[in-house]
Amino acid sequence: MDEPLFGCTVLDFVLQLPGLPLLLGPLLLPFLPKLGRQIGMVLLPLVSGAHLAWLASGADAEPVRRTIFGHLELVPTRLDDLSMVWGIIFHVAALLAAVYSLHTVEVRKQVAKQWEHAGGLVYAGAAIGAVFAGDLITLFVYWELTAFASVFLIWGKDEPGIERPPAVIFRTGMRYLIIQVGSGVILLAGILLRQMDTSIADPLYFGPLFSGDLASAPLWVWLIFLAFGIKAAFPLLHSWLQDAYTQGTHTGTVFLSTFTTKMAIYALARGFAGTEALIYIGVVMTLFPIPFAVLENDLRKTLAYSLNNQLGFMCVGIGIGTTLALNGAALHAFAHILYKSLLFMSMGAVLYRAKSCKVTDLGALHKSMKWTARFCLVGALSIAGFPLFSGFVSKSLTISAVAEEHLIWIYFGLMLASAGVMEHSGIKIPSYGFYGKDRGMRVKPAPLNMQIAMGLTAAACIFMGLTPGLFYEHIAPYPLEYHSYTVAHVVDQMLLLCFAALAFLVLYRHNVFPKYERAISLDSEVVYRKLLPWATSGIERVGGRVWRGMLDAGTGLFFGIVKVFYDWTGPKGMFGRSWTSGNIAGWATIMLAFYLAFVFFWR
Amino acid sequence: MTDRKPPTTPEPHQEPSPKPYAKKQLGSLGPVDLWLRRGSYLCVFLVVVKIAFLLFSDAWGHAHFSFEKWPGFFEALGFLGFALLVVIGRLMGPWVRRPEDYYDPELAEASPHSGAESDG
Repeated sequence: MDEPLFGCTVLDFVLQLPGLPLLLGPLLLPFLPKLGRQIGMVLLPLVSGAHLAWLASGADAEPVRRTIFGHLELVPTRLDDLSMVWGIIFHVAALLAAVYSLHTVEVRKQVAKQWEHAGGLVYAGAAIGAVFAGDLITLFVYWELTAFASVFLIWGKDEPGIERPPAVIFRTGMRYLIIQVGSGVILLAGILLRQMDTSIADPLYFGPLFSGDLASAPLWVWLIFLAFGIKAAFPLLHSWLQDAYTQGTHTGTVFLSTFTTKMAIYALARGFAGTEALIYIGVVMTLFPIPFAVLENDLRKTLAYSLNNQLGFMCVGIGIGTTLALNGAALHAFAHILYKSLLFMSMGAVLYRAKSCKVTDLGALHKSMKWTARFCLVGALSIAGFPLFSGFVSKSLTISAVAEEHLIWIYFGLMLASAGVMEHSGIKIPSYGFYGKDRGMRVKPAPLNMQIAMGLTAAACIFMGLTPGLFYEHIAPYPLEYHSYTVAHVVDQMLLLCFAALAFLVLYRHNVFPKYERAISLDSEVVYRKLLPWATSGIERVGGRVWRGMLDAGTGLFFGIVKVFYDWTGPKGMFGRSWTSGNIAGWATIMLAFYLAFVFFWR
Repeated sequence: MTDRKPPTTPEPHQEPSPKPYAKKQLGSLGPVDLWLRRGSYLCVFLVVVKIAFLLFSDAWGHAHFSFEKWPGFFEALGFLGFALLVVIGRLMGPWVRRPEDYYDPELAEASPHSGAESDG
């Protein structure tokens, strides 16, 4: 073939891929000595960031289209303002998570640990690739790669003493993989159906895919929406998130919490901005995890529910689809990645030192982990949306967008959810994680690298809260003129949060809170972890019985008939008494029959 | 002669706080309890600030919904909304709670503290 396979030289093609150092570099990590691996883990996100800056400096206004294998037109690199928001924050989060997990770099013995680090960084690279993908096929490839790379973060080996039985971890990873890869397969089915639709001009290009009424949408819209929805943890499709993020290693969950769901939020923002259904899905998503988070004993699972609730805010913004709302969704994803990483980091530190992050085990850890507790407080104040912290400046964009559209019930829902965030993340996480009842537990402070990572993340949260204008101007994907620190915003938000805190105090005094027990809560995962196995075993049980019954009845009937004949004509039967005369009668009958036939046919 | 006193039992330690709940609550929430109690003064301050602004200043600006300017709206929403979600959680508890080894039988043996333990 004269035409090159990739539409250009292979080297050109590969060098243009964003996140390339994170995609290929980590594969060398397991073969390096300890110090080399530590340096590599910090360096790779930095190199990738520099690579992205290099790509952005040389980028044209129109992304380059490459024809692969002679006919498939791909856009592997599209750098525009919307994807840049996610690109930047994914790099920052990858760097922070890498610094956070430096202490787990062991000498060569632990194979699982080595591939865990490589997996975490490749996972970050794949997510970065996905947000810069300009066409659906490239998106699909990265979509699946995130699933395969991130499962190592669940299968990784954790510190001894942390309760993670290998069989449980293996099954959790398999469930995660099935759901994540399943989402990719559904995405591919949607892409193929879209390509078959001849009315679409550029079927593979990943621009706005659909906005309008989903009820009358063609099948491919539903499939792609469902694929995005699985990874964005829509209500009822969400339980993989709580399942996997609770079972990840103490460093792995920090990676996990950042990329998959926010990549899906990006995909929704790109493809489904203005789809009204997203508003309602988003509101349900902000509200339903809260009672679960209130009940939950495991603090990392509480954070996973709270992550789900925050994704709801972004979905509402995307569903509204105005410039303000989309800016709100993007900036909220930006801020959310920082404070959610911070909270997962602090809980990871607790898990690492105290070997558990369950309410029923913890207490008064602030006496031994002073700085970790303070960083956790910063994360809690950020997620609750207190003024001067990052959650406030990003969440108020979405809420203002809802108010501008006069969606009164949605507004109520989001306000209610904000009060709920105050409970499970604002108060519960720090107070039960660090300040709770003293059970005499004294541990060492978190390792230095963890504290550095948490300190940097906390500083970023406060910086964003103090200088929102900088982020509105440079990070927001669309032009944005907004002031978050007006008297009305600040006082109203503070009123909401302070009275929610007051409610906590009152309810706590009157013992209204559910008692924490060593227990789990049933969630939609019960469908595939109990109901389906029960149903299939039930089908096997009932079906087996029916089949056996039919078989028994059939053979019983057959042998019954045989028995009747036997009883009448067998040795002891009535006709058996006269076998000899019976024989003669039989032969006579046969002869007569032949005679009759002869007469009838040859007459 | 040394004067011999009968051995006295040490004075039983007096509870410093007469409030029946104070010690228990402080024990189970630590400094958070104190912060929240101090924070409740902030509630009063904020209510006053909002009313003062609405009465004497026009810096409040435009509201998209009329109820945003009602004094007491955000207070009630925060307090009652929070209480509602907690009560839903509490009512849901008996229905959805299952033992830790409900899905994974391996977690039963691995658990260091078996048996339910409540907090507070």
